[in-house]
Amino acid sequence: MDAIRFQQTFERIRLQVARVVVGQEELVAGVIVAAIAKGHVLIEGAPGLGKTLVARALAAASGCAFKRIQFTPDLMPSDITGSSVYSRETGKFTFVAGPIFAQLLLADEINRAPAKTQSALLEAMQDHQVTVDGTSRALPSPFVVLATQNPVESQGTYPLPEAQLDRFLFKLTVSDPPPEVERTIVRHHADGFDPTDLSALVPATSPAEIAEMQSHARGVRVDDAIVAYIVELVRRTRDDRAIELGASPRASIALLKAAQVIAAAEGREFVTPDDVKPMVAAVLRHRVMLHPDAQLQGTSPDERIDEIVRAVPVPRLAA
Amino acid sequence: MRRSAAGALAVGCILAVSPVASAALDPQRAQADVQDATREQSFPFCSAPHEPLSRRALALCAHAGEIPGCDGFAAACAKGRETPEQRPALSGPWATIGGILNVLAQAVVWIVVLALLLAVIVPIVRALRGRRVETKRAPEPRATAVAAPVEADAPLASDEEELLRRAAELAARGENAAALELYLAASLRALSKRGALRLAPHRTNGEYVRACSDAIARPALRDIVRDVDRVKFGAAPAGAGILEAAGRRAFAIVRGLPIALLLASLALCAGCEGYADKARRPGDDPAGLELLGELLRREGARVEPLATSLASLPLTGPDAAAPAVIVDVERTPLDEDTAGHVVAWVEAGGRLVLAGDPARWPAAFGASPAATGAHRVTVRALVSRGADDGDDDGDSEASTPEYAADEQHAELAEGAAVTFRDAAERAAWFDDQTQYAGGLVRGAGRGYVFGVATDELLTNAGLARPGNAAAAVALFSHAGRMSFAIADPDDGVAPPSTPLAAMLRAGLGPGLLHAFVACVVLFLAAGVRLARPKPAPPPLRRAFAEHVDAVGALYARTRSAAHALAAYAQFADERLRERLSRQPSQGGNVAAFLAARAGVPLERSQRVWARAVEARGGGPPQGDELAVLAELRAMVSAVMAKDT
Repeated sequence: MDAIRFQQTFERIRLQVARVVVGQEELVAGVIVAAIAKGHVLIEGAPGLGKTLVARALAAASGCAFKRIQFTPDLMPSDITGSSVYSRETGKFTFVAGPIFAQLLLADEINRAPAKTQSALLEAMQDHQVTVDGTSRALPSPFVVLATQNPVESQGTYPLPEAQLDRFLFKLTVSDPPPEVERTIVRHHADGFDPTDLSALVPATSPAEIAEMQSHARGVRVDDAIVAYIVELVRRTRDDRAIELGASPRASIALLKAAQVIAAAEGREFVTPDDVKPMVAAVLRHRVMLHPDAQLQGTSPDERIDEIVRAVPVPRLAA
Repeated sequence: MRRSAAGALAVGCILAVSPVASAALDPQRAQADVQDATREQSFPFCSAPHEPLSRRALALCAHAGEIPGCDGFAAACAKGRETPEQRPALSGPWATIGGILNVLAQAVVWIVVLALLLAVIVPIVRALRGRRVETKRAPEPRATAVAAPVEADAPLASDEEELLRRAAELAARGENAAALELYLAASLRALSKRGALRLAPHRTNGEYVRACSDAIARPALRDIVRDVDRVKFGAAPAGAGILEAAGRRAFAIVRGLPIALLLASLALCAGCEGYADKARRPGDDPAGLELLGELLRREGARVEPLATSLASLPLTGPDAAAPAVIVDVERTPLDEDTAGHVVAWVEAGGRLVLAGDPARWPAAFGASPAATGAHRVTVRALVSRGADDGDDDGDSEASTPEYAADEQHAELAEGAAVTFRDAAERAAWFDDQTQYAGGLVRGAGRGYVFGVATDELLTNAGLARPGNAAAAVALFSHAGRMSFAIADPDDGVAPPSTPLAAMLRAGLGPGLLHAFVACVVLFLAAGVRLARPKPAPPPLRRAFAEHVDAVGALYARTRSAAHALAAYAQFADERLRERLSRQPSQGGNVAAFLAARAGVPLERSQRVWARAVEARGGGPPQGDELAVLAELRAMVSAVMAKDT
């Protein structure tokens, strides 16, 4: 795959998803970038803002197998991974695959399941495989987890542990649409749009082509100055007095991967600071833990990250 | 006044107090002087007069055909006469439409002016606001500065021309990549200076392109950024072609505005030059007084422009050396204040030559125009006033004036005559048909006014007409001076007393009104909001402080002093052990650490700490909990203060 074809395919996918998802351009682009960067996305937003629709539209546009798991407090790990079931006819245990064996998995309201169930996703998200009864089984490729959580409700929820949060490439926040966008959404529904029927969407690509795009994005050149810029951004989260726990080197890698995809989507074979900067907040906001004092003062992670970005000079001439 | 009456008065009394006549002014050679002057100097009112002709110049058109070689003036007169006839007069509904269009045109002009003002003000306000926001959001200086990945802002701190020069040097040395980046730096610097973008170390090149408000420079900047990024981050070779294109774009950005300004200036200069052709040149107005000044000079008189406004002429009394002031009210209209001061100046001893419509003269002189249709006038030159020659105080005895034997005759385009309310006059000219006087001298206080009912004999066209120069010289012999100061057109207006009056007089009144209205609107829109008192910002961590207060009150109500001491001891234990872990020499002894860091005796710290630990163990209340709590708090606070 060359740069032009990558750019065209990326744009095709984006346009297909945008046909049914109105006014969530950042969310749509973030989800596509994450899918190509082999990452997973945690989407936080109030109910009814189109989070599930984005996942289903992306599945339809990319031709990937889609599964959805509604996380509940009584959900068991085996409900996700699958389990071995005794067959009376054969007298043997047969593995029945769980819903995790999909290319695009929507983990809806992931923070409603207890930690044990949440951790069932850890191995899958990191190694793209699940181990049941001592047998490791590879997940289909591509494998993308889109997890959603509601930031408002706290009763009966289990906050995701830092280790699992770190597995997510991005944390994307979905806010209420502006009035004109909301009017457009309502107008679509008045004109007969059915969000449960996405048959109008045609696959703009295929899992195989997405794999090619992943391979192409990995080959995008990253200059040493860009690497230094990324590392500096992430390192500053560890030195910031308002941040108790900074981002790990995995965040630097995530930022690099995301920037590579952004550069490829722009039709370039190299990364520039312009590809890095827009991704910083999405990559870091769920990886930093604010100091309690900063929380008491009402500081948000995004504000601290914005300050950090402003404090780090972009690579420029040394002449 | 008829000639009989005027003559009686002239002979009887008036001339007795009139000024000394000039012996130097010689009407006989006046015509030759005018011809020499027009031949030797440039007086283009005849060949190329300023067009369109003024109303006064049009009134002199009767002379155009009589002056040799005055075809330009004649042609201009022909055009001037045709123009009003060719202009269609609007009437009825067309006049209404014309009025509406006039209002619309004025509205469009004001809208354009407003748009221009906004185009200037909005970027300035945005830049100021942006700078203020940026200052507000600027990160605090960090104690532990982390080395920047690359040297960031050296190019952006330099002058763009210097950067271009350095880029050219680098390009000449073959360091194309560095040169390329310097071209970008120069472009950014130039755009920043223009206010098209704002430089900041954290901004990317793409952000500069997107933020560039100079729509003309933005494509060129985008191309430079694309090339720079490709070379710097994409490891592409910086070829000569890329470098040349980037250099060309950078030069266009850096010098684009100056070049545009230069072109605009040239265009304006060209426009000004074109306008200069139409602008007034000395001597191009047929109604001007340049030829009169030259004629009087050639007659031996001293002629100069009036050095001050007529409203500020010094009231110094009669002075034989002071020049007579020539005021042509057709070109130097007198406002009320100036007219009043001129009267006072004359009454104090000044000598004034007033020419033009007598209705425009200061009313205190009591002059009024008289009806006459004669165009041919006779002027008598004054040779000597008699025994009181040279006496200028106006109190001399009467004597008989001596006139030149030969009378001079002049042809005027329009007949004019004047009468004075008071009878003290000497007549200088009469028209040949009606015997009305056109030039009269009268005393006013200690001074004199020499009134001439028309300024025709003073104008370029009037003097150039053959025969009129001699009459003009004969006329000026009545001025009684060989020194003249000619008032400029602006001298009839009193200087403004206040800056506001000056602006109003300059026609800036509507502008001032609009500015005032704009200020009021701005004040109502933003100023009122800004002027409202703002509530004091709540203290930081107010919720936490309230929480502590509430917990303390709860403990007090439930008499749980022991529990409070236990809780505080738990808190102190955690905090102190954090610090203790960094002090291995203390061996984990909290009391010793507390004594050492808080500066209290060891026994005291041991006692307090033992009591606090006992409270943590849930022992029974002993009544000293609050005192111990206060003592422990003081020690812990001292330790914390030292650490911070």
